[in-house]
Amino acid sequence: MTARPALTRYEHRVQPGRDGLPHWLLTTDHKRIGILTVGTALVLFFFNGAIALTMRAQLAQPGLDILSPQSYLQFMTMHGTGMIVLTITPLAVGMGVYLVPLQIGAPRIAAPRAVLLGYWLYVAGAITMIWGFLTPEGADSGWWGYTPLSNSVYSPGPGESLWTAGFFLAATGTLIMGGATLWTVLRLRAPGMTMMRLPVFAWTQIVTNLMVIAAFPSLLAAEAIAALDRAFPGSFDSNFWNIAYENLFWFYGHPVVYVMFFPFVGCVAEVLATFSGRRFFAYKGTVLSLLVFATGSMAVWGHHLFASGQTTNDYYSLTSIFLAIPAGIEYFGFLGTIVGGKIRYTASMLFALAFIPQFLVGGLTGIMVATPSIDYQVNNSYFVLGHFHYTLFAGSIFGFFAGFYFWFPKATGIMLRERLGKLHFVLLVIGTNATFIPFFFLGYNGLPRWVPTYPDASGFPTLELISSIGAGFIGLAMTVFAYNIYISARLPRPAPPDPWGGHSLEWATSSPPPPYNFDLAHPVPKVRSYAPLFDLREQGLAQAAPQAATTPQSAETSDKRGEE
Amino acid sequence: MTFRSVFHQLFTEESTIAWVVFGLVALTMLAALVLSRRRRKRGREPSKLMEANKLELGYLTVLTGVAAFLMVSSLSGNNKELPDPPKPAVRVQVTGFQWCWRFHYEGQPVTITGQCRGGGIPTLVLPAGKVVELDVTSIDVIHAFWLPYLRFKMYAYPDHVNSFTTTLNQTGRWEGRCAQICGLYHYEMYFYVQVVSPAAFGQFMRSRGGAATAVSQ
Amino acid sequence: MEKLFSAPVVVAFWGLLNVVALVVLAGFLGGPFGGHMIELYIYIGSALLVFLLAALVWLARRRQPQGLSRGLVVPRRPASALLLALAFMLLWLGLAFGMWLPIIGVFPLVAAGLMEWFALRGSRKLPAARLSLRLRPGPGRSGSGRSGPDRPGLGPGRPGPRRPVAPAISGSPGGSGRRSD
Repeated sequence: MTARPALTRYEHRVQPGRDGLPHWLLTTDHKRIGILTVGTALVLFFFNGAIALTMRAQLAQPGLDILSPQSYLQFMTMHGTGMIVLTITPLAVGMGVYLVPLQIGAPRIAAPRAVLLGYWLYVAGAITMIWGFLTPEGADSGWWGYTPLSNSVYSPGPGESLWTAGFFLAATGTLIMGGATLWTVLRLRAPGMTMMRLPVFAWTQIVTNLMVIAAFPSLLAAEAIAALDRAFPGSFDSNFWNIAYENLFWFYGHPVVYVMFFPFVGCVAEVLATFSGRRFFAYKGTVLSLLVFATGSMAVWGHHLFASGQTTNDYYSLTSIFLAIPAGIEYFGFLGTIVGGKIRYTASMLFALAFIPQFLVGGLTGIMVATPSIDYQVNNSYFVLGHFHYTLFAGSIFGFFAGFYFWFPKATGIMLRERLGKLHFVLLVIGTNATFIPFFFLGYNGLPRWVPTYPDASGFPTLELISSIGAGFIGLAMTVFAYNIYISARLPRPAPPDPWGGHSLEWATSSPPPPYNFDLAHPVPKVRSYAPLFDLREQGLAQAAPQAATTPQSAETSDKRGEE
Repeated sequence: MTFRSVFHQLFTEESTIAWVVFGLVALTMLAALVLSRRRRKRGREPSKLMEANKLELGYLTVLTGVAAFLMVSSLSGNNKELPDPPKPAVRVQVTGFQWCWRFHYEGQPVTITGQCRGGGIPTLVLPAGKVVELDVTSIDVIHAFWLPYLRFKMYAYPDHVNSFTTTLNQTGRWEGRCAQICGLYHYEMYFYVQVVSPAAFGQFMRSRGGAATAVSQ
Repeated sequence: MEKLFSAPVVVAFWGLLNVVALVVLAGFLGGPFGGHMIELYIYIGSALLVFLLAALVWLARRRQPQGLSRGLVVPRRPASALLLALAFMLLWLGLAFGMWLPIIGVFPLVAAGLMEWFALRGSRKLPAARLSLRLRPGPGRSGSGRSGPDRPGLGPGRPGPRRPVAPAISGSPGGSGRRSD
């Protein structure tokens, strides 16, 4: 126990376990590892975001000299790789490490030391990659690192090697964490928790980590080849190997964007259901479509190579357009949940609601780039940048914030400030759309990617300026977010076990949970469906007397019924 | 059909569908918010319905139909653009290098190149209305030959040649760009394509040391 | 229906869906755009990984129907994870800076290996610790209802009656007898 005064009987330091640096850095408690992973990824989110803001400053007008062309290429490589490999994938996997054992009523995660190893490999990868970024001739070949541009002939020096090394390390780390999470949900569920009673978030973690197992090894192979070629130049010097690298890379590169998508779909699903006051709608259809969606995502990677002339365009177009079907079923679930609901407009819910139309923009433009005849024009232009920033930022990151505001009280025992959360939301909506809508027009008008500046033609300067102003709003929004966390930690308001009226098992335990997730005071409740707490509340109301097993929550029942 | 016309047909088709879908989702969301407000005002509880299987199946059918339509459109559009190529009247070897382009008219001693940086941007001259074949390759890293006017790009690989044919009917001059990250001056790797009448093309070839009748019939 | 949809079935089902997708790819590979056989080989390799996972889950389920039976042994010597990560990092840094770094990396690698060996040896000596099918409150638990502190394994880590075993988790009667999937 530290000397900090306790305001209530709930401890408002992060974990009731032992404090001190060694007990965090060598923890085998999945909750602490989850917090470390999400925390590290959030720090890197700010880092890679600052890089993006610098790029946006450079691009605000043509011919600016804020970044030299060499620096710009290093910045954009770091931004892309950093956001995908060091930020959003770890956020997605890290949330699973934290939440899955709780949601399935398990006391721990499978293979805890392996999960710890995974975290440290991720950190090692981040250090290595950022080290490369800070090297004068750092990696500047974009986040794909295509050979031969990324080999030691065309990208000499330690910078690109550090990029390759960092990528491999971080991907291995997230692979291990994801694999352990998957094993946990497959093998460590509490009695009564059948597969079809798993919460939607847990199902999204299943399909996410199935893809991690199936696709991440391909990336490891790609970077191993790239590394061998850098170590022994000339070994992989033919069109066959260039194409091999591309295929191995994209076999990972497409599923990884779904790894960065499904967990946040899960966040949105849980949040929409909770703040609509009803069970998630069309659960079975959603589960089946998640499995089909994940399969689809494994089968489309060649669409990144439509203009290469060396891939099976018709097949990949077919599979890519096919994705619209499971996506549509997902949307049926989202919309069906809110249509019947009595909505509480918390900050978390606002982010989840915004996800629906915003991700849709990304999805619909995705159909366009899934059509080769359109992609021949817009491939590698700003249009594609617009497409994937909508899916990943306007979509996944909004889903992430929905989940973050939702589960932060559970993980820390502290409530975040609602007003600041709503301000964060408003600024982020404005910023996101102002930044990325111009991208579609820039790309349609012929502006390619990877350019530190551009000609004063085709409306480019005006569109880029609007985008840069939008990026300023994003920066402002994220400052508000950071301040919210700071002020909530500084002047904490303690969180009850179930501040929102949640449906799944993590809300049945304390905030933060005890070291083994549940204990005598907070036992695992009876699981009869994918919304066990909702069932118990309903049953409790029907019987007009709270059940013994729900005693810890029943005090909160009256709070939840009211307005936020 | 040309790359341009297929692009515009498909883009219009897909944009229309996109706007309709977006509108429907937005309307449904609006309905959800309105219904929720009404529920709150009247003190009613949220719906207890957990699924609507018939509706979902019907919706799935519609989705599948739209997806099938889009797939057929996409595949047929793609196959219109790159059919069995007719015999080209002019063949040009397009070579990308760090950081500019070289155009060599095959069968003729005519090569056009430049430095790109500092204003030496090479112009690929082509005859209007004739079938042209471009054989795209690279001598170093992967580049991409992108002509936005044409609505088409093709990657340029070392150790490999990508061929495509097209017919440019309109005369004019258009700017092309490199569309695959290839190093420091990727952003300045411009070129021009200039389409002239066959007669002017013949004159151009002769002035560069090639045959006046460079366009095979 | 629900009984059929068990964990290994879910994984195998997903593998099967991918097989369908890759068979369609095989059909297209002859087509006008060619593509390369390598696309198919990569996808086949991936599908095999998925089926391997399904088999592992099925085997694990057969050996231990209750997934938690090895459950609550406190993991020992987690510092080996940090050392292993360091070793791996040094190995890869060798690509950028030369062979001397991976050579240094041998030390943390060996140290991690030794720690792992001792950790496994230690847990093998205590079969009794592995059972605990019915998760009962362990001895020496504090009255507040929380289990003992999270032991990072920095201390001697000796097993014994003071070692924290998790308290009862399932509040429902007869819970442990039911299969969970």
